[in-house]
Amino acid sequence: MASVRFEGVWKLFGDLPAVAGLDLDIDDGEFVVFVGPSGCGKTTSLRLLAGLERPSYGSIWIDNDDVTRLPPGKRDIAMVFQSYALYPNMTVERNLAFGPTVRREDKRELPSRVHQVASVLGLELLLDRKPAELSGGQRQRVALGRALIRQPRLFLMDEPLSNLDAALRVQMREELVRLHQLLSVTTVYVTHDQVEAMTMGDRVAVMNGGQLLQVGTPDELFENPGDLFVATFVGTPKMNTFSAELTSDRDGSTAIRSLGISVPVTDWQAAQLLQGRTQTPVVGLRPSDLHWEAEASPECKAHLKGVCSMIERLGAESFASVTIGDVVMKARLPRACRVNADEPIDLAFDPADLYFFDPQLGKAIVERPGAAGQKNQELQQNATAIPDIAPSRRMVNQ
Amino acid sequence: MSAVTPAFGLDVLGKPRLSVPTGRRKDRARFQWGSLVLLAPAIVLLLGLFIYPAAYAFYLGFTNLRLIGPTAVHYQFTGTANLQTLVHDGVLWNSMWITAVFVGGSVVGAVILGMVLALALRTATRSVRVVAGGVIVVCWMMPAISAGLSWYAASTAGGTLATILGTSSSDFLHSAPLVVVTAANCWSQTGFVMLVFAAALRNVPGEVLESAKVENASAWQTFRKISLPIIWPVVVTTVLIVVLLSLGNFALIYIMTQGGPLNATNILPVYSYVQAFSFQDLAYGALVGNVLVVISTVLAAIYVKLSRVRI
Ligand SMILES: Nc1ncnc2c1ncn2[C@@H]1O[C@H](COP(=O)(O)OP(=O)(O)OP(=O)(O)O)[C@@H](O)[C@H]1O
Ligand SMILES: [Mg+2]
Repeated sequence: MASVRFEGVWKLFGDLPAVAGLDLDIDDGEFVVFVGPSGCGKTTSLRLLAGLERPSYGSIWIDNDDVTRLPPGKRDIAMVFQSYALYPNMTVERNLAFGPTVRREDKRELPSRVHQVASVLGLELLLDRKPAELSGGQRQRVALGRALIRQPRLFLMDEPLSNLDAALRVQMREELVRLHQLLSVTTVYVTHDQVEAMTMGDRVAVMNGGQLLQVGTPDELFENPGDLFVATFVGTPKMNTFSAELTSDRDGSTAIRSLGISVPVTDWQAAQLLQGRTQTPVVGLRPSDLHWEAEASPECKAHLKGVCSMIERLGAESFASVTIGDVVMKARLPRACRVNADEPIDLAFDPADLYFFDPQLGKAIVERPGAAGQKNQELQQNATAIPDIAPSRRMVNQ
Repeated sequence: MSAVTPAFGLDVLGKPRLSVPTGRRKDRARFQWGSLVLLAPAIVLLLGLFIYPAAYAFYLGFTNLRLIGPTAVHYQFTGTANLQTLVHDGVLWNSMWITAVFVGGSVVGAVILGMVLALALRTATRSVRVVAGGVIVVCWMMPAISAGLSWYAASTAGGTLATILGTSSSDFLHSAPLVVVTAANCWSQTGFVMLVFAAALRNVPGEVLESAKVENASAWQTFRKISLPIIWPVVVTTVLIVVLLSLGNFALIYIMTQGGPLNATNILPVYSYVQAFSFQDLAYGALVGNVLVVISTVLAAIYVKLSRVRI
């Protein structure tokens, strides 16, 4: 168990900054997820923390010790590599046992630990095989097992579930969260899958181009993204964005004009919008906040007419691309809405659900009150709640 | 259908009830008669330039052929007469022992030295790698004649080695001849070993070594438990090659000592040469050569088996 601090950490490969001025505090026992698009420096950050890469500038602290120059083996870390890095000459069993063996941990306990980890990861029947004889997902589970067999100060996991099928991924996600609740080992977890990030992380760090854009709880990121990148990166399908014009009526009420309509904004939005310098903010609206007119709540005071250009039916709900003027917006529609492609559709939204960004800098210019996030938070909790049943039972349920 | 799901619903390890088709399988390798036509030129070359001369040389070992004299032309098969001489030839048995020491010492020395150099150069900076690697490769490329002469000059009385040790009158070629020639052979094989091992070590994935580093494995543990097992087939093959190269390194010893002093460095190829051309007994020389061939073949068979390399 340990806390971690990145202090102005840079890593340059030649002239290319792979990590640019990373400042981050991670508390003891926290589960922090690094998320961002490919090549944004997630792996490099993790390798810096592991000691496999030395920072060009800045320093890294674990538990109030400056570990910037400490070799990896002395940091008491267990790491899952993105490329697995299994020992090709050893069987699964010996791969799992390697760490405890070289650390000269108690030999008598080792077989039971190996079998415990193997059973959690469903590897019992593969213990005698070499990595070359395993499927991609099986290899990945061995890589995970090699870390989980230890109880280090820090877990570093680089996309440990990327190669598993959807059902298994959900299950392993729950397993990892459960293990974290059990052991409370500080964990830094890298993924490019924002659903994984949102459901697993105590806090999520969004990176892009080597920079840390925003750190916060999943709700904070969802409700108050600091800029356009975070806003469009967090949440699926991604947030709709369109340009708008700020207008003030004669009676002093503020509205935005966009998509061919004028939408009166709420008082708290107006107050912050008028403080901002821009008259033409970029406006964001999540697909889940763009409702089908027929089932929209009374708060949805803005009404749009569009033509459905494409529809993806997922069973319980569907996602439609709706053309409104020259803008294409994604909307989440209930099952009851049977609209087809090329048919007109009426939509509505609540102006309080809008996000506003500076058109040049992309920074958020309206901070949203936390209350709006209430219903979302409930959803989130349902997603991470873990049924208290044995792993074998859950498999059958899958 | 039973409701038992295999672990994680992924690994189908139970036996599914399948009716597998029987009959001739299409994925079995089959002999293609047409390939004989394409192989014919190679077969002819192999027979004419290798099998026939080798078999003939083997046959000569069982005749009374001499370099000069009446039986130089009209030689005949003498059955096991030469073999009986061979069995009672004390010099030959001594020569076998010397050969074993020479080859064994060279292999152990060259493999260990080559491995150490390959490991050291892997972590060295680029400039060191280029310079040191270059020098070592030049040592290997040097013809046996030059290598032999250099080592002769270095180890004889008044040579470099004696001068460095401050005993310029001592002649190491006289006091420790087998050690010197073994060292010389080691020296000339190490470059090759290093090159092969360096290439093999490059195939050990970097992240695998990093993973061991994170586990706090020592350099020795990492080498012993990861790198060495991964490159083991290459090590076995290299040992075989070095054994064969050393067995055949006639020129080096002949230049330095001609097998002397007092047969102290008389390895089998040198003995074969001496019998054939100094004592003019070509047939006996050929027979000693046959012994060498048999030994090499047995060694090759053992190593191929050990390394499980499919040829
Ligand atoms: N050893 C290296 N030498 C040079 N450039 C590197 C090296 N490692 C990474 N980079 C560069 O640094 C940047 C960040 O790489 P990194 O591996 O951290 O990305 P990532 O966020 O993990 O991406 P992904 O999701 O694809 O794994 C990339 O542009 C990459 O090309
Ligand atoms: Mg990566």
